[in-house]
Amino acid sequence: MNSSNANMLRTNSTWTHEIGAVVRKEFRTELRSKSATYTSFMLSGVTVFTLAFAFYGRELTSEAAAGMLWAALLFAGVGTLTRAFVAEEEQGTGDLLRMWARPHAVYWGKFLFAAAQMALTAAMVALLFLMLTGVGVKELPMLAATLLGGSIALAGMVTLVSALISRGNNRSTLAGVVALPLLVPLVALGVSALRNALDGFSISTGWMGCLGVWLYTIVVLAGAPFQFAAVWGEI
Amino acid sequence: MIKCDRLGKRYGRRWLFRNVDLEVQPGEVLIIGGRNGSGKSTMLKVMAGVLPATEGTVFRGKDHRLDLGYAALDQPVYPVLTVAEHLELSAELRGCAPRTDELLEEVELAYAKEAAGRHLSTGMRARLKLALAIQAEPAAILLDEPGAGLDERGRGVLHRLIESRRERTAFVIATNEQLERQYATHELDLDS
Repeated sequence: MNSSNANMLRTNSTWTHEIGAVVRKEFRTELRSKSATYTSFMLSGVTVFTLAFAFYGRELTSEAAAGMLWAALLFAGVGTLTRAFVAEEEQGTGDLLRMWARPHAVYWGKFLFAAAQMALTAAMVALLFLMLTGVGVKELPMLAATLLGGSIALAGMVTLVSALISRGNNRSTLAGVVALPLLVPLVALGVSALRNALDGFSISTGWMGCLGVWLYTIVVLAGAPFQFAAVWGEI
Repeated sequence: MIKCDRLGKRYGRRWLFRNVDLEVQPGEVLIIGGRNGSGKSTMLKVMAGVLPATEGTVFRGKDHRLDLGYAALDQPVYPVLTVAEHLELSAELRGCAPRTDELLEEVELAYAKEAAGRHLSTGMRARLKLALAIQAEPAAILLDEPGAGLDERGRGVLHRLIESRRERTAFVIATNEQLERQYATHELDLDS
């Protein structure tokens, strides 16, 4: 085979093709190992049940409920999604991705899988939390939009954090330390939106909070792939 | 072709290698030798782009995904993906034809096409990594201890693979094995 024949082996690779390949790899790996699913269910389930038992028989204010729901989401999200790159580095397969894939394809592929996983976790956590605590929802579309936006933002940010910490020592502590300051604006906006979605006290303030969550999501997704590309080869 | 310009790698205060200038053209085989811990594998990792260089640059072709192949003894594979899925994933990401059956025939691994990575023996993993390294028929191939872990038949596969490509491919091989050294057109001893 000469060099022109070698060129014939090359196909027209597109971003969607490459991102799709990473997403399929993530789903295949998860369907077979189920490690993230079990971790996510365990972390979110334990948090929600603990909170529900702690407040059993007492009426929860919408402020406290919104804060607790976000705490449960953060706990499950940071605990599960940071595995994205940590698992690759622990099993030594991160080098395969470095050699085969462009950094943006790796980030978007990992992010899309994480976003799907987080959205599912958020829906489950919210449903379980509302059922066990008996808190009512006045603005269901606001609740859904905030949880969806929050899940996407969490996935986008934590995927980046996971890449940053993947080769460090004491990764679980590092994940919290690095992620927490970056997630403070999201939590502040998200709590405001959820509080108003639960009690319906100020609809406009609630929607402003929800809009803020989505703007945060846009900022994260506009910047994180470039930051990831800058550090991916240096990790 | 692969070219290194003043390449250096340091861990802490210790330089594993420094000021390495080299260029390997198609038709040439560079053998990197040296005792254990001398930095052979690290040099190949830096050349492959899986480890950052402390100083210097490496030219790996226009698109390293297609122009460079790399196989190392200590490189793990995905434990839950099958042999065929590794080749499909690599092809999709790099933008080349998967050639799954053809490559598995060449490295004599067709019988394990549906076996998961975690069920492969060291020798089977080595064959899979060889198949991945040659998949895009790159202009340069880096092999780190390629004979280690291979049985007699596996070594035969490795030598046919090098023999059939040496005219059009630049090879850089980190090894102390006499069998692979026979192909050397140039040698670099990291002990000296």
